[in-house]
Amino acid sequence: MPSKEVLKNRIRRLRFDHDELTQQELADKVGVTRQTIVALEAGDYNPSLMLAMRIASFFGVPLEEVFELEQQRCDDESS
Amino acid sequence: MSTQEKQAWFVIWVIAAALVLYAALYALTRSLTISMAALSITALLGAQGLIGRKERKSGRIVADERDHEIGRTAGIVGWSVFWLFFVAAAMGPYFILGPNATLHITTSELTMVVYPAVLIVLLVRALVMIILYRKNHHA
Repeated sequence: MPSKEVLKNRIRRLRFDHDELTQQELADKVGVTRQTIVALEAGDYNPSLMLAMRIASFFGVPLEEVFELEQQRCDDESS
Repeated sequence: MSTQEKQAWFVIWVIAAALVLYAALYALTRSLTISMAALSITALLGAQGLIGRKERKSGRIVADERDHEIGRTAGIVGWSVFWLFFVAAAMGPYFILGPNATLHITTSELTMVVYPAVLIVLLVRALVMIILYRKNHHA
């Protein structure tokens, strides 16, 4: 069964764990628009390496704790 | 909604308004020359830069990597549409009328070919932006 790679992230969880940071506050900290943070959390956008590193650096965690590459079967719908 | 998406919607609404006004004027006057006055509304497209001015002044980011990627993709599609029009306009008469034919067109007919072609390119670019913003977009 063919599979595709999907990039998952824990940005929403990390945001809440950091004093319930709002999307706008996180966007201002990492230098993007709030809409990009929304798209990231919804899984609708894969960030560039620079942006991914900036997010991980802001939260003070390794990149792998923020983003995870997942193999999904092509007939699966991710939640 | 991001600033670029608002600008894309602005382009769509201005061009749609110009087309509706053009159709209404033509229906009333049956004159192409008078109807073309409706195209003057598209001068408003020059005011796109005013959208997002408040956010820019407050120091907020109005366009980031995602916006640039969407703009780039929309620009490529818009350019491709322009190229199709350009090739059709440049080569069409040659193949239809032959290499030694002479074509007489009025200035209004020339304007009616060139200006709407540019508007269509801007419209396609704006529509692609809207679609990409609404759909999954991956860098």
